[in-house]
Amino acid sequence: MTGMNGNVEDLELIDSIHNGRTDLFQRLVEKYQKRIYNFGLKICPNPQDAEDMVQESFINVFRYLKDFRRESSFKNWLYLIASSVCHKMKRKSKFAPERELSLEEFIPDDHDSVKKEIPDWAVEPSERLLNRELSNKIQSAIAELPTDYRLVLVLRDMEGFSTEETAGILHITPANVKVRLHRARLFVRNVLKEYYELEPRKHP
Amino acid sequence: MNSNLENIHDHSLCIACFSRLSEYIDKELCDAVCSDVKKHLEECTCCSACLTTLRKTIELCGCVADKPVPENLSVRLKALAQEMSQ
Repeated sequence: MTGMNGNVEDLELIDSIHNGRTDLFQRLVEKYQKRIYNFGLKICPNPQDAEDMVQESFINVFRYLKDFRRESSFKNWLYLIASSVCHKMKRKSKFAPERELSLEEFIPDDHDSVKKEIPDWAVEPSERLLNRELSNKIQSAIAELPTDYRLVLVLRDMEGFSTEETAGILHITPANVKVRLHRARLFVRNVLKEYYELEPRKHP
Repeated sequence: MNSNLENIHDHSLCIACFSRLSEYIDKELCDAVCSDVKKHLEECTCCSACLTTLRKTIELCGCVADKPVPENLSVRLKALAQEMSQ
């Protein structure tokens, strides 16, 4: 995570860029390209879209840098731009069809059908569980989420933003962030449960 | 009779708890609601199992490793930054 020091460093770079050192824009790109590319991979349906998103985001950053008001950190502003580019791309491409996730679809109908035992996978250390196959499973579960839910889950649980920061980046209320996040997590949890329940002996 | 009553589980409490598990994990509940949820979790093995699987899901999402930026994209971005700064 880029903390307070990272933000001071960013603001100094931005001041220099405003003062004519436009060549320093390259430094901002180098610093954030990996984060924004990986954000794109989690949000966009394919790697080419993620690459286009990164490029479009940095074009917008350069174009609107003079309007950056410093009400948030530069990093948060960059994610706001990247999220907005994702939304624009979604409108004209083949992102997962939009739908609302309701809490009801995750609540078991029958209380007795809920397993009382904690499954093995939920208590294994994550580093033991997380092989390439599971990583792919998690990423494909996230890709199946409706975009509005995917953005919230990725910003909160993968990119490390707080509820308030996520709300600011997506221009939604913190309450809305919480609702979407909970449903998105339950969706991914169900995918993992099915994955482990279908072939339990295959997994550690 | 008493034992039968104890076996009757109030599913509505589970639903109330289930709907707040993420906020409970994220420590975003007010004290009163948090202690209600905590109390229910101590009494209900189903909800407690749900909490554990949800926690693990969040942890696993956070552990997915980042990928390196493809060389061609890095080159394109460098050229773009140079072009924009001229």
